[in-house]
Amino acid sequence: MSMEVEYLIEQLQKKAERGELLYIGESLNRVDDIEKILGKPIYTADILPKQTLYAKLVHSTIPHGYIRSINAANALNNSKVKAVLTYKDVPGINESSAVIPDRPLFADRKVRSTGDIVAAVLANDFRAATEASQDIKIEYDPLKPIFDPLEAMKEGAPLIHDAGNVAKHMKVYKGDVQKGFEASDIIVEGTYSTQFQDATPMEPELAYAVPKENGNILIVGSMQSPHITQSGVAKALNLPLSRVEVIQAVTGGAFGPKSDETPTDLGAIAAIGALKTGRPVFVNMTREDSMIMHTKRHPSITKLKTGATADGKLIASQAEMIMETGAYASLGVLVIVRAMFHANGAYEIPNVKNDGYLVYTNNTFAGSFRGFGAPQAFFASESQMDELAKKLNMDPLDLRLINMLRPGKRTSTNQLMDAACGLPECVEQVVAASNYRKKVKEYAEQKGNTRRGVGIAILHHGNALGPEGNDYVYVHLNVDRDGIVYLGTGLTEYGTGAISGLAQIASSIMGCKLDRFRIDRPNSLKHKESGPTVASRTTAIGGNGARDAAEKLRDRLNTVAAKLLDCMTSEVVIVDDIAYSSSAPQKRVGWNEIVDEAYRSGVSLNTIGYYMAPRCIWDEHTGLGSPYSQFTFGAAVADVEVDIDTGVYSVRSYYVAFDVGRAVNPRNVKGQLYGGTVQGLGYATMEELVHKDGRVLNPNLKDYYIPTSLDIPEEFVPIIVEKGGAIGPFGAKVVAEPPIVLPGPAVRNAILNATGWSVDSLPITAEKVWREGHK
Amino acid sequence: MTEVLMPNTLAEALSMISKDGHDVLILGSGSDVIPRIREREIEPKKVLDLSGLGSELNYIRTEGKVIRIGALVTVRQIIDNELFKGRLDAFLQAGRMFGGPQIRNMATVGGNLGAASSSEDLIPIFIALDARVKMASIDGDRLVPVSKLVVAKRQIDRRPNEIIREIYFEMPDESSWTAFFKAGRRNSLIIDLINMAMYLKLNIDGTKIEDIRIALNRVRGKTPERAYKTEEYLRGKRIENETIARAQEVLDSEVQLSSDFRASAEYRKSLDKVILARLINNCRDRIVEGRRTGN
Ligand SMILES: Cc1cc2nc3c(=O)[nH]c(=O)nc-3n(C[C@H](O)[C@H](O)[C@H](O)COP(=O)(O)OP(=O)(O)OC[C@H]3O[C@@H](n4cnc5c(N)ncnc54)[C@H](O)[C@@H]3O)c2cc1C
Repeated sequence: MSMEVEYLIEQLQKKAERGELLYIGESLNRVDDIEKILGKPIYTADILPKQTLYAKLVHSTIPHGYIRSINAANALNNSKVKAVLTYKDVPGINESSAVIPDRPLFADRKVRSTGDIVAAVLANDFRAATEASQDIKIEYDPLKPIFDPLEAMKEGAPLIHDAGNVAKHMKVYKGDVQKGFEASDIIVEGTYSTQFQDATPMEPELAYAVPKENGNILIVGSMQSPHITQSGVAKALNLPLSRVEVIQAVTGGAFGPKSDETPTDLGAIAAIGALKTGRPVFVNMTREDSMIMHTKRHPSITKLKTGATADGKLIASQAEMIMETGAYASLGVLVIVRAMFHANGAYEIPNVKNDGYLVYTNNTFAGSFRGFGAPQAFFASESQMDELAKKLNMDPLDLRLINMLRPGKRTSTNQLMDAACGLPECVEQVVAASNYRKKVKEYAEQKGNTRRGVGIAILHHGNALGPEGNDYVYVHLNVDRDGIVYLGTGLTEYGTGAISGLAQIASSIMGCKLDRFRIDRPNSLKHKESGPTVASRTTAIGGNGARDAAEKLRDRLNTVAAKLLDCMTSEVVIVDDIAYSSSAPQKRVGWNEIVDEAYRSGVSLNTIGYYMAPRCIWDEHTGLGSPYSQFTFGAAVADVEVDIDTGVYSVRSYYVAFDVGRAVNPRNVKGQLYGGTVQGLGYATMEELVHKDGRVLNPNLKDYYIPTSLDIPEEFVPIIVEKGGAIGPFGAKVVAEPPIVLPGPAVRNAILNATGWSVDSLPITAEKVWREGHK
Repeated sequence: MTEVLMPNTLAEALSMISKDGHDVLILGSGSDVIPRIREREIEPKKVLDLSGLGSELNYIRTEGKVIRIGALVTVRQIIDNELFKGRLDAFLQAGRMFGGPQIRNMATVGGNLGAASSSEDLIPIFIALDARVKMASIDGDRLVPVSKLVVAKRQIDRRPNEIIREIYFEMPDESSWTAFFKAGRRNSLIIDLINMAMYLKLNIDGTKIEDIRIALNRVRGKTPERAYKTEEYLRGKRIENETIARAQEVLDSEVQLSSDFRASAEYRKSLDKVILARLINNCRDRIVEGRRTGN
């Protein structure tokens, strides 16, 4: 046997002793990375069909009011303009909303924000469409707008939707919070606020539609969840699903909004235009369009009250969070659920009362965004922990060590933590890596204008959809006669490498090399609906689908290989493209021989894997129960330097440890730790989409700041902790979202440590730091 | 359709705009103008591209004490030039935070003067150096003190038939130093909240401020200006904490700033005051240090 094979077998045996497979836990290259580096992928706007019309969307110019008339005559006078679409052109149901049916596709009667789409102009080129869009005359009867969610909640406030301005009230009630406060020696109270954050994916939302035979329609676009777009478009067009083919083009980043309404809006408008004109229609979106139109992270105002004993044991926690959803509810009704489940932090607290309100205003709407309610919740709870520590005269780390979740402890919803709770390990490792204790001592001695400070923040993160929906997935695997493996699923790749992770899992199980894998373009007609590509669920849930499909194929491959090797199927080992019998390893057959034999003998190497996560059980009224099947845990330490006179500060170092259960591909996990942290630092320190009178003031990258390479910490230390979870493949837990949560509170607490100043609103601008210090 | 004029000599360029200069947009590297054309903020009929005039307009020259910078010199060239390492430190400090690397490689001095939006960084430095702008036209050259160049936001004292040819100033002597600072909401690619440039000269024995010029992107209006009252107060004073504190008060009453979503007027003012103190101390320290080491 060759050295290489010997080595592989040795590796395999080592891993097998841990119950694992060859490629699991290896930082393999992604299946698509070379193509991406070479610039080969075709994005939506790269190649458009011949004769394509360009659509420019026309938004409402007022934040609240009735539409009196829409006059497109002037625009239609332009010979380049082929059509102007409004609600009157929608053949099916004029609705595009995620959960509550509160949002029309084209505004019909009423407009509720300046992001509402009133019309679409279709012209031969984008310039003409853009110019003509100025010629659409829309008359409104304005209504009094509301931009403050607290105002919107007041009795007698103008109604944005007939059903009232509170779209959802979510509760988590445990024990008796009143008694808890009475029994407390110390009580702290605070109000914490957060801002609109834009996801700024590198590529804005885009889609084109092509009319097909028999009135069928094809849609190609940049999106997270093609089946959501398919059903939304089918509804708007009044077509059966089978006649709407949606292909996810290679997608340049997403972060949440590309799973909400916008891709459906674009797909539906393109499709309506295509059916009306008989030509392909491309809805082009500039950065500005995207930032005005797509969903953002909800701003929040959280009143939090915490009671503890004199020695630092938490007894009661009460949270009231007002989450502003803007004009429409979108996924907010689920975002508020996650926020309330996590609102008291990663601690065991016997008495809890959480009330979360999702409130309409006439600002542009909010929805899904990496973190999904957790960034707002943990900014409040983790900030308050440091205020409590200050009052108790205790180190914030010690306060956390006393109260944090560990095996045997219970969450706010009473969910029991089992051995898979790796929070203590995360804290221990991040504290060691950052030299936290030493720094706290050193920094306490500082004087002068430049001060350093360290801050810690911890979290738990309920995995995957949990209460947000049925968590199921299908993964198609098909080996062709050349031995190439095609992996298809309704889940999508948009930059994380997660789909490549599915291939890594499948190749490990099947025993072939990863570079044999090709990923199908997700297609709503070819691949089964697998739920949305959200909630960081691709590896933890999708991985089980890949595993199921791969195991089915492996059984068949074993049978075929046994025949070739003349051994029993139970003796067959297939690893890295080579098969042998465990009792006579000298004789080997290659992957292509097995595949060839399978084809010759009629054994199908085409299958579909399926997985559905266990149902999560919790009480709608009290919020108590087990809303999640497993949790990710994390801890971070930020080390900042503050200029006292100006409030200008920088994050010098950042240390983060995450319990991801099992890192299927450690390099990809670190990619998420880096990326999530940087986006979280943006949220913590500078990002803020500003509305004034319902208009977005800074819908462009000149005025909306995201971190540049000069804004990220010089030192960044990512640590992976692995405490295998209950449901993910090989114990994998989710990782893509939670790292974005910690920078907010960690930076805030580090500034508190450096200066004694508490900045309780995000983003923590230099001006806010300065104000705290110069009150 | 926009017509693009591509002259090969300055004379040719000047004759191209001698008549219908109003309709012509002059193009340096386009880093300011191209995004604005794309956004339809401006829609020029004709564009005069200066890129062919490198041999005539791209130079950094010293003639005795005078330093002349041709309009096509880029920010990158300034940062890389030995002449600016030392007393002209203000340029290096501005250069380091000027846009990103691509912008530094492109952006021209003439374009910076021509853009004259309130966040142009080189203008305050030139003002602090009391520089002169040389405008060329077929009628000959015309000099404009840079402090008078910007007449309103995005509007400079340039006639339609003129091209900025060069800007020049005297090299500060060994008793002086220049410094610059700008503040924004991140570390690169920012729109300045405030910026400030300073020229400071100590007297012979190094105890007092002999001369000082302070220029800010905003003092009273939306154009870069000198803080004359603050300068006046500081001239002849010893650099002591009390003096600086008093100077900060003068500056406080001298500047009138407005708030926007990036920062409040109050915070901008507080930055101005802190930066004033830091730049004074920085200039003083560097002059003293230079004297000690004989630079
Ligand atoms: C991302 C980004 C970051 C930036 N960061 C900074 C920064 O940090 N600091 C800063 O100061 N600026 C910054 N700018 C603005 C711009 O880059 C500078 O003002 C630059 O110096 C402009 O030079 P240019 O050659 O590109 O000018 P252009 O865009 O070519 O021209 C600017 C204006 O000057 C006129 N003009 C140009 N040359 C002449 C001439 N010889 N005679 C007469 N008129 C002329 C033009 O007609 C135009 O009105 C930034 C721009 C961008 C896009």
